[in-house]
Amino acid sequence: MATTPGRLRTASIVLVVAIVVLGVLAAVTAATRADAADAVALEATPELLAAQNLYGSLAETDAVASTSYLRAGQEKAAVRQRYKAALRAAEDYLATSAQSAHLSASARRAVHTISQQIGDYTDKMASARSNIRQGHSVGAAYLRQASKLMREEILPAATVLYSHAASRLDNAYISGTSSTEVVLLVIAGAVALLLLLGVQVYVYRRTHRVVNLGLVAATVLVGVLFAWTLARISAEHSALSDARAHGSDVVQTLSAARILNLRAQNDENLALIERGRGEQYVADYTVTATRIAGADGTGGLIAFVGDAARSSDPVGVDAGLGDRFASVMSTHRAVRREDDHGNYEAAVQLAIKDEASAVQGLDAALRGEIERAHAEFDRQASAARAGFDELLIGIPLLTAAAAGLVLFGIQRRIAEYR
Amino acid sequence: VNARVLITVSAIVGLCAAGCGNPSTGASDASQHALEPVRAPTTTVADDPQEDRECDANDPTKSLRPRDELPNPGEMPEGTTMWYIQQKRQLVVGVDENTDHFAARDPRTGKIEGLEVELVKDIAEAITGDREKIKFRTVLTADKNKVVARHDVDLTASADSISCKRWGEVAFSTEYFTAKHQLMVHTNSDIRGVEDLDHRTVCVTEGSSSQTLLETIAPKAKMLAVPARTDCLVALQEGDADAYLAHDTFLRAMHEQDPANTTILPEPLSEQHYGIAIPKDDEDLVRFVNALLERMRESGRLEQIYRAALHEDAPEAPPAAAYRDEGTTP
Repeated sequence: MATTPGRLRTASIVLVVAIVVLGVLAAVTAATRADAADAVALEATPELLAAQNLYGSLAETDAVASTSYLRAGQEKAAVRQRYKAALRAAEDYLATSAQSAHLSASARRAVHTISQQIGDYTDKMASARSNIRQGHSVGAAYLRQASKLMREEILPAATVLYSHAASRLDNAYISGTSSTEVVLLVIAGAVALLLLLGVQVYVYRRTHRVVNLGLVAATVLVGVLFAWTLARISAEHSALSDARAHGSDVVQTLSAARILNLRAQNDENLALIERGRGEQYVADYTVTATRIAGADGTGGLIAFVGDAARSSDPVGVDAGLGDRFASVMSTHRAVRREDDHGNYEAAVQLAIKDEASAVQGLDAALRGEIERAHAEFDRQASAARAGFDELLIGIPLLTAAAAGLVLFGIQRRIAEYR
Repeated sequence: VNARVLITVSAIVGLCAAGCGNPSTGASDASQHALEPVRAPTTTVADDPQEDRECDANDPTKSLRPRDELPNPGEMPEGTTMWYIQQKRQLVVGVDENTDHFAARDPRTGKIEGLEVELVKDIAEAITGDREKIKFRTVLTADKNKVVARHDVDLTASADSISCKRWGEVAFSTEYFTAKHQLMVHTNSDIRGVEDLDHRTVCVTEGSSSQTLLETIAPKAKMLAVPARTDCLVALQEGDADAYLAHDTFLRAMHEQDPANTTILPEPLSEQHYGIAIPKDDEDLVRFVNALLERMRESGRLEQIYRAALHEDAPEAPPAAAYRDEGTTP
């Protein structure tokens, strides 16, 4: 084997092995990334959105119900419609969540709890409504019990679903942007290219032929395979990072803000409904508002989104969110002021008119921003997923062609020694 | 070769620049944290108050005798509790909102109305001259006396049965209404009286006189204690309870809301005497309210309030006032 043909034969085997290793690594990495990008775009994100929308619709259902109770005789058809629409949306999102193939045992229990309790909740609300219509005070008892069921049983179960979906999305992002395979791929690519170059130098020294067409073509193909895979993966990586930073992170944060906005409204209503026994709701309101926008209105979830937007421009989150939140807070303070001064009726009127419309204004603005971020997410996610099909066909073809060219090129040199 | 190594290294560095490590942004943590439930502050339960030493166990309704003539509305003597109420221009009152005819929120108007509401409006009018200068604070049975003891309200009128135990926490006006305990059951129930309550679920309001009574008259019954009075009607309607033990006053109101399915058993179980709860250290207000009640008994105003709220169920005459010092009337 110490002869030149023997060395060349060994070299050809080593080269083929190196090229195949590179091809397999490239295919595995590309397939993993493609799967991860699919998981982010097609499974984890829709699941998270369903969980978030479920929570949001449930919170809205209860907020609308308490507002309509405070309105007393002034229940409007539009309010009734909003209640029914929110409830129907919650049921749809629950069905979507339940269909996910990846639910853990605790998430399945949560789905079960919610679907059972929603039945109880709507029963209690129906009793509340018919009693209230007849002027029976027991209607309020049904309403309180329904709201308690929502806050203490249904919403906590929805939180379980939400956390489950959020951590699934986190994991999909991590495997879609993990660098381990990429480092291995870069090493394998460098090794294959260095070996190809080394063998060509050796062949040149032994045979004094400057160009071995087979080896040169193989080097080009390996270079193409290597560069194509790296380019696709780094494009996927940056698209997925953008999808997260300017898409799903913003959606997630603003959805949380939206839910908290509705919860705060419900707190306000319940504090008024409980008439002086509502300290816990007033306290909950304060904590909730702080979570939306910080203690001074410049922090919290809204600021988080602002930072994300500033750090690398793009989605351009509407600065109006802060102003809208400020107007919710000012109506809230007006409601509390009236109530604390004993002007209960005035406080109720402010809550069901001025504050309700400020809350709806913020809600609409948040929905708009969520939609924009969602569109940005879709754009980046499809950019992340694009081009993997071609790459996954290209990799085996390029690998086979490069390996064949190596064998062909070296075989010709070996043949010269016969 | 060196150039290739360089390219390789720069490729790795370049990729890392695009995001080596995972780009965790904290958004999901932040939003999950934001949706966590807020822990309700735990309220400390006060020890059972000591019984009032001056309370007459044979007749706890004995209250403090009025001393002076009633001053004109809006002209309360300086420094008295009534004067402070007049100065802040509102009477803060604890009421229930679930007991039709006594104090209930009309779900169609949102206003609290009833016999007890009229009564406290008369008190507000006697102090400030304006019967609408009132801030209502709805109270649950379990805390209706606590809010008085804490001075969160000036007084509470909420079907508060006078007892020596409760006298330990608050002071009471003279009696303004006499009620009695009765049982309410499903119309087709086989429960005919207290003797049938063993092993059945009986609903009572938490912290009420009914809770104590049930433990005495039917110790083998299963007790379901709920926060608001109407919650017991819900429990009965939903099949969570077999019977509801409460004052006839509430039961009549509950029965009217579901006449076909509920029946009140006629057997009277124990008499209850309602008084207005006032902070113990506001003796001047107790005497003032008693003087006002005295005037309302004499003028027929109390009967008028009964009739307006209770119609044919209104009692013939208001209960007589009893005082601790059996001296002469002023």
